Amino acid sequence: MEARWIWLWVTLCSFWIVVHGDSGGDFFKTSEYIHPGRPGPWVQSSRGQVWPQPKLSRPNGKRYSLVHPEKFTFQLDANSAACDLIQNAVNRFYVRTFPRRTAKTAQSFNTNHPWFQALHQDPNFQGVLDSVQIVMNTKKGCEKYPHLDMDEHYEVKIDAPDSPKTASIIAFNAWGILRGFETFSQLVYGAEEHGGLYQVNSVQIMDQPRFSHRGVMLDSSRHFLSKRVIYDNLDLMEMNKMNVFHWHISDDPAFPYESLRFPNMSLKGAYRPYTHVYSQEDIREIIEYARIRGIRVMPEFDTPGHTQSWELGQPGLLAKCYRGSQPDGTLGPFDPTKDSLYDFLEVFFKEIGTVFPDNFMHLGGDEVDKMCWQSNPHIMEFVKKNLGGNLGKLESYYIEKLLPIIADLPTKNGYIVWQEVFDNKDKVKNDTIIQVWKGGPNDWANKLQQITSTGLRALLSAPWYLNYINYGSDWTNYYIIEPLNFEGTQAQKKLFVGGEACIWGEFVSSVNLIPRLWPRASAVAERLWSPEHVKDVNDAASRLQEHECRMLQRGYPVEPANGPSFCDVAW
Amino acid sequence: MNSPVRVVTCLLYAFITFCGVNAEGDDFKPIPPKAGSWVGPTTGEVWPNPQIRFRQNSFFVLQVDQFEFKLNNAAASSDIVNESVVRFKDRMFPGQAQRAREARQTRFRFQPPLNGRESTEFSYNVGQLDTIHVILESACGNCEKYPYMGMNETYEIVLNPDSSEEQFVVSSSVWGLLRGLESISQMVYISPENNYSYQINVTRVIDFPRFPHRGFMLDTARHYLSMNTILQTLDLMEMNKLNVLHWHIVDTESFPYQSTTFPDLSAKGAYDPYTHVYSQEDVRLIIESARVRGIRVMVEFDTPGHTQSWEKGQPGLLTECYDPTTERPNGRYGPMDPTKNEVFEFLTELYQEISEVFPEEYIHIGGDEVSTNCWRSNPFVNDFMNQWNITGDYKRLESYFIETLLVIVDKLPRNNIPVVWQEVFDNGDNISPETVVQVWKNWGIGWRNRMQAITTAGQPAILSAPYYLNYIKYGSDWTCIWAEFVNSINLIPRAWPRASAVAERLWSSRDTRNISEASSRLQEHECRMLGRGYPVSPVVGAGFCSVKWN
Repeated sequence: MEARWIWLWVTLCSFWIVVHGDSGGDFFKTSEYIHPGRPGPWVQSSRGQVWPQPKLSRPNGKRYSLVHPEKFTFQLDANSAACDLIQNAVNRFYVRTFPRRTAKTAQSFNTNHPWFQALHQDPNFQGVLDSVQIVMNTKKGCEKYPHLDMDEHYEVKIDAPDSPKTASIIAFNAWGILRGFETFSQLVYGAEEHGGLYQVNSVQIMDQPRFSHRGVMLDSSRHFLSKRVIYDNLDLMEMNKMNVFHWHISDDPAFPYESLRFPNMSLKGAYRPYTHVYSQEDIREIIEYARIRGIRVMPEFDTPGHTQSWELGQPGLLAKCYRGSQPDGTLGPFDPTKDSLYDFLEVFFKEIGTVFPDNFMHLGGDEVDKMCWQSNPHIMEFVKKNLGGNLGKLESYYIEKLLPIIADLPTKNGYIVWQEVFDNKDKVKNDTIIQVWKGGPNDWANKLQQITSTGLRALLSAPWYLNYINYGSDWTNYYIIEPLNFEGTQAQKKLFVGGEACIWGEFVSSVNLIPRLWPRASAVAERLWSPEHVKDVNDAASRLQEHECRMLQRGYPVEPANGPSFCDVAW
Repeated sequence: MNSPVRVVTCLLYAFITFCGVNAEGDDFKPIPPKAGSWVGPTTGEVWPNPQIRFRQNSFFVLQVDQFEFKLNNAAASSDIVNESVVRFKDRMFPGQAQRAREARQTRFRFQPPLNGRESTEFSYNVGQLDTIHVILESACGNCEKYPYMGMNETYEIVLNPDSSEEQFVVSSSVWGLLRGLESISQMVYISPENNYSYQINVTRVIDFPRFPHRGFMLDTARHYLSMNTILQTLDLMEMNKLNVLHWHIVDTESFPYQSTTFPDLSAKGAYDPYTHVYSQEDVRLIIESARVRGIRVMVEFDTPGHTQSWEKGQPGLLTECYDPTTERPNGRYGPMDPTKNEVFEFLTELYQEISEVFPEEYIHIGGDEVSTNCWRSNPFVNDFMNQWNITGDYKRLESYFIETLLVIVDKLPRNNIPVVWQEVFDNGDNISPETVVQVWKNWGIGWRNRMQAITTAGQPAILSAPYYLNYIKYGSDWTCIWAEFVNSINLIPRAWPRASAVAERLWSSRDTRNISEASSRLQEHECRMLGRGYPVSPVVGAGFCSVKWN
């Protein structure tokens, strides 16, 4: 769905440059006007603030404690100690909480030192925090896989009025504990005024997400993305409390999924077999890596368009395009008139259902080009015979044959489709989720209104195509979006499940994915997690500055979002 | 000084070419629904395109452990050539072939199918190439220690299968040899059809640059750039035959240059006085790495504007701004204060140091974007202007500053030549005829008029307006990179291979402007730089490099 829009966009932009070229050189003037030439960074960083902003956060005066990395433990209660997700999380979050200068800090931490003694004169100083209690209030044990309706609600208490000088993370579910861990790790910060020791301010936080589907879509077809980069991205998603990895795994240029039943598809359809593919083992590892971070992996095998690479290993799926009465050698979308196509899809998607444990599959359904179908006499004859000569119905015919196949899989998957399926008025199950990707603010708001008015659920990514880049702080464009800003009843708004930041792969590879995506996707993350009233861009800028440096300190190559600045860690 | 003037007219055509193609998009646009890469790479083509190249289909085979460069006496006496043949041998054999072959033997029982593109052309193996002679046709190897404006970069490569004497690269200067060795390293490719061996085609190249000043600008003030990033940039510049690193070293936000005369400037003006600075040793290392790559390091200390960070370590340089209602200083500062003699005394000492530290003849003194509001508010400045009979003419005041500074640079013992941003020229300042003017304003049409005016006035000119790489836009937009949104993380992938397009425009002949042909060569060049270990980003759409980046 991107290719032709890109070219339109590139064309328009170049045109704009040619026409308005004379004003281009004044950007700097503008920026100097806003930032009237003072030394130092443009945006001052916050300290120990959480991204995305929690729902409720109540500081306990100006009280604070220090934290000593080597004298600090996470204390698990019986329920959480029995949960593999939380066992895994402890080590990960220890490292995130204390990302740097650990050795130096430990050396300089001497409780007999005069300055440390002097700290006790400070009435706000609450001593050294030596542990955090992890409390999971459930009798059901922890769930294995994250899902759309998982409970991510949690509470973090640090030196709260009702439990002074102690700290705890409390939730009903392992997913909530994971989010609480992340919040805690962000509350702890290096305090220069205390010789670089770690400090944590007293606070009580009650938090839960605004929307339940908070995703990042990666495209591993246009450029192959290495496992390392997918892991890094999952880490960063967790740090931003995002919970769905929408994996657009195949498309026209390449088919990197190594199928069990159809190995030829990647042998012949990948850019390179063996090296530029995802083996079953790779996929299992990626799913597991995501699972223990509370992130769902939702695969998308886009059909019936965007499938040129399928044909290389599985000939006969695509429609032959004709010039006159002869095939001209080019191929179009799937040929929906062939019964053999559906036999193949049944076997193929049965495999996908078993390989990917998520309840949802993304079925694509976007940008189907009808020119090729129209040129093909066999297809047109079928249309005449079965669809009353209406070519427009052929796509619906395909979708309506595909959907029951998915619904009847032994794994009983739900499905998500791109908005074209809705626009074509295809018959879909009531629990289908429609993903809106087209148009400007009015277009997508209208579309959300239409979709929810029919009782279907909606997912938004139109304003969050992060592969489009501009000079300057463009994260604010993503941040100021209000997704529920559409006409509709309260019941309709409840059908809005969330959104996704999409980064299509034409100009993105393993080299530049992470710096291009982050911290810009953090803006989307906060929009989808924090309450509606969290929308002050200036306040967000200083928290984002801290968050950017935090991600950098933790070892991820995120790029600067706020203009001239520096992070305490030199990269 | 004739050649920089020529830059003007020719670049005009270059820009028209880029624009035209982007606007139509047809040449470059593949039909979207198609399996495989949008653009297939070439094999063993050179970027930037050489002036003249005859390439045959027959090829030599190269063996990593048997191949050597043999230097003639003059070349062997040059430290630059000795050092560089080691570097270029590494670049010729980045180890991919070995790895690919091993991977295949250990993991798979059968030949992996190659997707498409079997060679149908007639080509044959003419034998193994073990020696390439490196011939310096010059009296001495170390006659020229530092690269300079107008240095000779012409070279010739002959790889003739009939005579082992006719397998050489030759030049009359070390700089030409560097460029020739880079071309040889790019002509070597890996052949999947021939058991993944290294091959180089029977070739003859005669090559020279179109323009002598081919620069890349780095801004280390907005974000500090690590030494590693700068050294990588020098490598990539060499791979693209760019020859001037324009180092915008300080600016309003920070002052990372550690001065020996005024250590407080960086101690108080850098983002961090210990980790975010360039020590004298760092600067020497950068100059030396650039030197052996035939790259000049032209430093810029921008004045009188863009100098807020100077005040921290050297109080009293900047103009105090006054509040118009209270008529007292409001605590803010403007550009440097041209009324104070101390300012010029300070600049004299600083430029003496700079002139000694940087061997490059040209020094960029800035002069862009001077805001006059603060001068207007300051009563002392206005008094000064009354004395000099230029009441109210703040452009003249700016000119006074620049002209005084130009005199300071002029009097430096090393006869440095100043470079200024275009504002200085726009203001009608009295500048000496050799001063170089760099044009940066007005994307689109405006810069052409400027270039015309400047060169009509007889000033040499550098053009960078259409090449501001930090304004990124989506798609295939392919040399200055300002750092408001660029740091060590994203500099290399953001600048490269987009800067390669500029490099080819400045090196290759005017006729090299077929975009679809260039796309294929650029795809190969992108993967080549990636294979050599530099994180460059994809620029020609969906596709892949056979080397995987983790």
